[in-house]
Amino acid sequence: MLLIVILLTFLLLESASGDAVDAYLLSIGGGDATVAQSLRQAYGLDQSVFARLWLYVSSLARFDLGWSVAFDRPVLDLIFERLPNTLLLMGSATALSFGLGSALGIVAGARPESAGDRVLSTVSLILYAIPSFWLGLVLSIVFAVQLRWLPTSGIETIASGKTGLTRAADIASHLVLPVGALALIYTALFLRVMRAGMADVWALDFVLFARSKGLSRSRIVLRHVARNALLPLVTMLGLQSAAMLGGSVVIESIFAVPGFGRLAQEAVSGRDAPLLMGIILVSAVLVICINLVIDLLYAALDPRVGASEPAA
Amino acid sequence: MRRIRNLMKTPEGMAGFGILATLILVALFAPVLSPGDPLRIAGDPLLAPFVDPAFPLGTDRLGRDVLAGIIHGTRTSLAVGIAAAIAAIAIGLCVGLAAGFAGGLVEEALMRVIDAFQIVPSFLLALAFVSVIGASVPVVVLAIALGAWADPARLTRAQVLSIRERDYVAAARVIGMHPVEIAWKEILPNALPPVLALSAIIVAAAILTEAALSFLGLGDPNIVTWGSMIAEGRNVLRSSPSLSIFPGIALVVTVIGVYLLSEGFGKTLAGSEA
Amino acid sequence: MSALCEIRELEVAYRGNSVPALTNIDLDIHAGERLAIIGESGSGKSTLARTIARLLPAGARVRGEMRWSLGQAPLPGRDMGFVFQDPAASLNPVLTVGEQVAEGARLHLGLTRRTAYERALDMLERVRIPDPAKVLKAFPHQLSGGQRQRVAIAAALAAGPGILIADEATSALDMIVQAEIVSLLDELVREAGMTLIFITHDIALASGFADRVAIFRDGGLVEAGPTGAILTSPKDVYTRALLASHRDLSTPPLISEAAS
Ligand SMILES: Nc1ncnc2c1ncn2[C@@H]1O[C@H](COP(=O)(O)OP(=O)(O)OP(=O)(O)O)[C@@H](O)[C@H]1O
Ligand SMILES: [Mg+2]
Repeated sequence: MLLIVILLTFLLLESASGDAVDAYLLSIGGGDATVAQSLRQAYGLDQSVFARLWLYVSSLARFDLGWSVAFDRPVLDLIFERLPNTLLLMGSATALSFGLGSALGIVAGARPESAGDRVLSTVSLILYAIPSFWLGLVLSIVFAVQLRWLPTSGIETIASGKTGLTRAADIASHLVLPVGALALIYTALFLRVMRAGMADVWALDFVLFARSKGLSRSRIVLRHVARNALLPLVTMLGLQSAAMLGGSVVIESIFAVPGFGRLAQEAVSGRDAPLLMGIILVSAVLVICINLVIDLLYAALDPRVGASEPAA
Repeated sequence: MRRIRNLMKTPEGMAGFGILATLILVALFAPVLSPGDPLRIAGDPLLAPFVDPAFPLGTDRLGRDVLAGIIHGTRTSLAVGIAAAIAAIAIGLCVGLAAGFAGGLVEEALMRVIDAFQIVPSFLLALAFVSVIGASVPVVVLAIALGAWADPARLTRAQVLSIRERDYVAAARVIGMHPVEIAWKEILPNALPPVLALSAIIVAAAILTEAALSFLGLGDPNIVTWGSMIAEGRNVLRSSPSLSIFPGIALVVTVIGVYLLSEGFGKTLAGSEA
Repeated sequence: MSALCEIRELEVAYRGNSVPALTNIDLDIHAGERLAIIGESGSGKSTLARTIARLLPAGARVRGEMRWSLGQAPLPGRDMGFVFQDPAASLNPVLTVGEQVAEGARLHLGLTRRTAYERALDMLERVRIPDPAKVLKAFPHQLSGGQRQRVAIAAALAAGPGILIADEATSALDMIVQAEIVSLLDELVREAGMTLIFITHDIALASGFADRVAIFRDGGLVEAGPTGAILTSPKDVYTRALLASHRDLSTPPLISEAAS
């Protein structure tokens, strides 16, 4: 799987590497043929495609993602420098949207087709249609420009000398808008998935059995219906992790959060193909890791997963 | 035809159909509604909206008509969104059919490719593709399709696997139909509906991706798009936020239209099964 | 015997259906009896059971009277237990057996969590599940069909209700298990002096241990009366036809074989 991603990035790199040399030469104000030649040699451009692929794969195996042309630094260093901010952003957005979305989904799904359900479903449909980058702009107009409640950009106040809790609070205030912009669309999505899942569970026999035990409505809704509807939601969380990572690219560039996504945009504007491919590879690895965690979570939530001997 | 009439019976379907029909008309008649190049300088720069009747939504930094931009942007959004969705579904159908039919090692290999495309954030992939190859409408379409074909491929394969076991396919095999003929005549028509049901979501995602790409400056620079208008307005966000807000509203309305239509379809499908 | 419940001119229609699922039902349920409700598929047996247990889906229309001798209708769970046809579907797949048996007892008997689980363990013993302590912590998918139905019975009876409704509780099981479950129900009901409403389409099964039978057809009650009377001298042609299709009624029913 990862190998195919590697092949993919290699192919993209292949079609780009010619440009990178030219771009680099242009950026240093042109150069003679020998400089170009030595550069091509450095990139292995004078060898066969397969040799280059082998070179690429073997250097990846040594965790060498190549050299960033734009930053003149190793790609991996750059990525590790930026990754924590993105993980913070994504983690907060995931937690917020999952918590809020599933809670509202339970409210909507507790009484399918009720007025509250209709309102929540309609609102979530509208929210789900709002592109996060535009929402980010609107939020920053309202809260940062008009109301001046929150900072518009960055991850923390530069050179503020803050430490400990005040620094954490500072970072949190910087994160409110980007997290909000990223989380809203997923809140709407999770709400819809939770609601639809609950509607499916309501039709099952064990809900009728639970009702026949005379259980309270809240116990039926939470313990029997919502508990089961949580399973498709967790699956969805895994499926969406790649999309969320993609979404953070735009959000980070709007709010100037020095993260992974903004690095991607900088790689694009710097025509820095090795950096861009490194970002793609690392994000694929990240998505795989997230999905492993999700699988564990799923197995913890669903007793049917995994081999289990019949009792007695 | 009956499908469409059923669709119109659901409120979601009707609203979605209305919104999209209007947008398609706007896109088709853009040159009539707003003649001339939308990128030309039409008046004074930064006119506020709702002031000058000649520029109902005002003008941008260079004095370009915002309304004209939105009208012409409809064309790009819809064309790119629909073209990318068609391309993604076509690729997905082919790969899914091939995987479901070939079985064995080929299927295994194709499934791994599908996996690979699902773990790469499709937006990053599109970003990389456009930036490496260069921004033009066909490249943007292809870039979006590249990140969107995996879902329909997976679904098609699942469909093929379930249909392959059914009686009429076995019957076709017994009478000696060629496998390709079976795939084309017996399996594809039955595998298609659920895949097409996915298409609305793909169109919506494609429209949003296109907007995000051009927002980041990776759209075709020679045509007007909502994403690039939002990006352009961002430069004067503090003084004239409306420049970013109007094209965004157009985008949201379009995507809502697509979602409503797909909800309507979902309801009619559920209704016809019951 | 006194009537526990008198049903008069009952009519039930589901939402969106102009044709009612039950019409003009007059039936008495006696305290402490075993009443078998017999009829073919779609005759309205489950609808009657759900009406009695107040488990009809939203929007269902109920007309007529149901007079309970206690003055008020029995409370689901506390006064009335319900066992469904498909034991695989009627247990929640993600909750432990223990929780599902204990939750009714905990609510209706006001038990603490611990005592409710003790009660659940006791119930599992009573439905004769092997290794009940282990099953208490197991999940439904780890049990066989017959064991699941035993768990469902334990859960339905956990709060000690006076009435048990078993809606085709044995239809989804194979013959041997079916006989075991029937004899278990028989025994449990006898011990506790419960009223049993046993729904089935299998007249042979019902005749083995019911005090009275009520024959349903197309949403109507064909006839009702003591089992012996109905079996030996059926008044209605439909009952006669139904009996004719079970020629071997005179042979000892399965139930006595399994119980012995
Ligand atoms: N939830 C429902 N909504 C609408 N109609 C229903 C519903 N449940 C049952 N019906 C209809 O009511 C009628 C009686 O159904 P009921 O389930 O009571 O029959 P039954 O005797 O229990 O049959 P079976 O032996 O198959 O369980 C049937 O015509 C059925 O289609
Ligand atoms: Mg029934």
